[in-house]
Amino acid sequence: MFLLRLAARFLFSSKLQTALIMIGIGVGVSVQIFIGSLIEGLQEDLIDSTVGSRAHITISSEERGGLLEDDPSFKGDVEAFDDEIKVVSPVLEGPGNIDNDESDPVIVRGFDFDEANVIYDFEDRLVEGAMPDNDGFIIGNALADMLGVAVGDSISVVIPQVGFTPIDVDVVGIFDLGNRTLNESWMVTSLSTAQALFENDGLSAYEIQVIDVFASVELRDAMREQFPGYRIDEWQSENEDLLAGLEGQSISSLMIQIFVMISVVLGIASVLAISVLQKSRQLGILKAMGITDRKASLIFLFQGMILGIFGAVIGISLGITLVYAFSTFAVDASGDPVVRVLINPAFIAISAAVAILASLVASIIPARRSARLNVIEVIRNG
Amino acid sequence: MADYALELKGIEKTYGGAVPTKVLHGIDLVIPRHSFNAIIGQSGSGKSTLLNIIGTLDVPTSGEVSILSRPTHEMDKSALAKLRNETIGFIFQHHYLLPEFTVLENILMPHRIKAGKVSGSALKYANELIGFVGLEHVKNNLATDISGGQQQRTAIARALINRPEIILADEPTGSLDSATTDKVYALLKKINEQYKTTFIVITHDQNVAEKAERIIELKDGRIHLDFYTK
Repeated sequence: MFLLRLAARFLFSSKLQTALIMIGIGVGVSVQIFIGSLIEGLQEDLIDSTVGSRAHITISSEERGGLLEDDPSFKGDVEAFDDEIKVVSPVLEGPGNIDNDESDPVIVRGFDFDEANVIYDFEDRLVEGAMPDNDGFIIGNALADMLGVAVGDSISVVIPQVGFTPIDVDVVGIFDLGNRTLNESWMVTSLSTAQALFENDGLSAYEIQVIDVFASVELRDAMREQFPGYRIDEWQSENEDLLAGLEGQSISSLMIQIFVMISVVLGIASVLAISVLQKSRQLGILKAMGITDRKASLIFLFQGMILGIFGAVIGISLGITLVYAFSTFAVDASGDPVVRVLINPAFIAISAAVAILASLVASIIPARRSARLNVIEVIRNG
Repeated sequence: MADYALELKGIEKTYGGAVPTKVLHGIDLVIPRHSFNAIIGQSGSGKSTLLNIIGTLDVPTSGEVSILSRPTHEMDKSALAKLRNETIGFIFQHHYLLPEFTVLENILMPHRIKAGKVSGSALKYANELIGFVGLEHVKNNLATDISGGQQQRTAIARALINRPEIILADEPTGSLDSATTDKVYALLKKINEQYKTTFIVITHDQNVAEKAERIIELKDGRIHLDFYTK
């Protein structure tokens, strides 16, 4: 306690120097928090927009283009397979063409909406009209624009699998899934309507969402073992580029943070090294009065700790302010933040702990120098 | 209980380097307890080196130092630090007060090193010492906000706080004017009488030296004269 007070008094006797180094540490920590939160937010956004509204695991027939039996007990088995499984949604899909000059290709997808809404959230993503109840269809906004149709119009579609006579279907709603390809090609209806249209009572696939999107590989392997005879795919193996990109981003963010910390450590070490020189008279007399070398070095470790703690507090406040300012002022035309920055208390706590630890490490050299300081040198040189 | 405050046997000190310089040549010295001793000699005669060796701040090249019958060459650095803290008070030519602390805090520093925190009795004693050296009105000033004489008196009070057996003073009035010098020496004598503290004082001032019971003169690293004044 006495040593801590000595350390604090030494530090606060040179206020400007101490304030500057604390601000230095603070800026380092705030950059770390800001970059970390930004990258984390960016990655969550990316993952969410990539896999938030799609199946993480699909179970389909081993035979290419083959169908599965619409078997509720199998579906129940899959649902019960693991707690990670959020929803199992049966789908029947097939290609179609709009009956116009271009024969624009579409994909007709039939869902059980209770389950499909968990994955695709059609209900919230309707921009016009209503969900299909009987045999109506909802289509993407891009497809609606392209064909110039509105809610209440009908579209003629050719389903090659069953014949070349165009079938008229009613458009009851228009959705925007936030993905141009899907908005251009999907025609969505109830499972029973799709089965009637394709003249078939089977399923193309079971689409599954899981809670932890990165658990999909492990889960797929387990499911392949449990449910042989099916083709089971998961999203990560189809998105290796994205994952590699995320990984690269994480590494570069980590590198930035490491280098910021290194410069913080160097800053503290040099300031404390100067401080040992500045305080050598005081240290000399303390040693003459009987302070041990170990305690003399503790003074500087305590100084490092104090600098680290105050620097971390400054850094956290500054970092959170930066994050807040960024999400308030860096907004797109619609007023949403450009990047949804994420404040993760655990990450902030880790940053603070790293800063304090780094400050302690930085004070080791000055502490050892202070332990080695010889009273005689000080006394003799006045 | 030890008969002697201090016993030196064959102390030699050589400073290394390319050309070794021998500063002390076999000093034998016994200092009884409660005595007041002056070490005189020209600059370069080895006085300060001898005092630093006595104070365990420096180690002799050969020879032995015993403080209160405890041989210091058998002790490690932290045992020596404890010995200095508890049995020796230093007064240097420069006061070496900690400028970050007040007069009272500076005086209590050796006690804090010893005990960690300040006990009621230590605080009482510190205030008694402050009265003794006449610093009541500046005791809460920072050490830098008082005069040179007051700083030296603070350093004297600090040397006394742990009730040391021995006080080592190296030109304690070297940076003071003659009026203040007289006051400081009167104070040291008073401490010697009142607290029975053993004093070893380096001085080049003949007048000052004559106030000591015993004068030891060093010349070229040897004891040239050693006599009692009364």
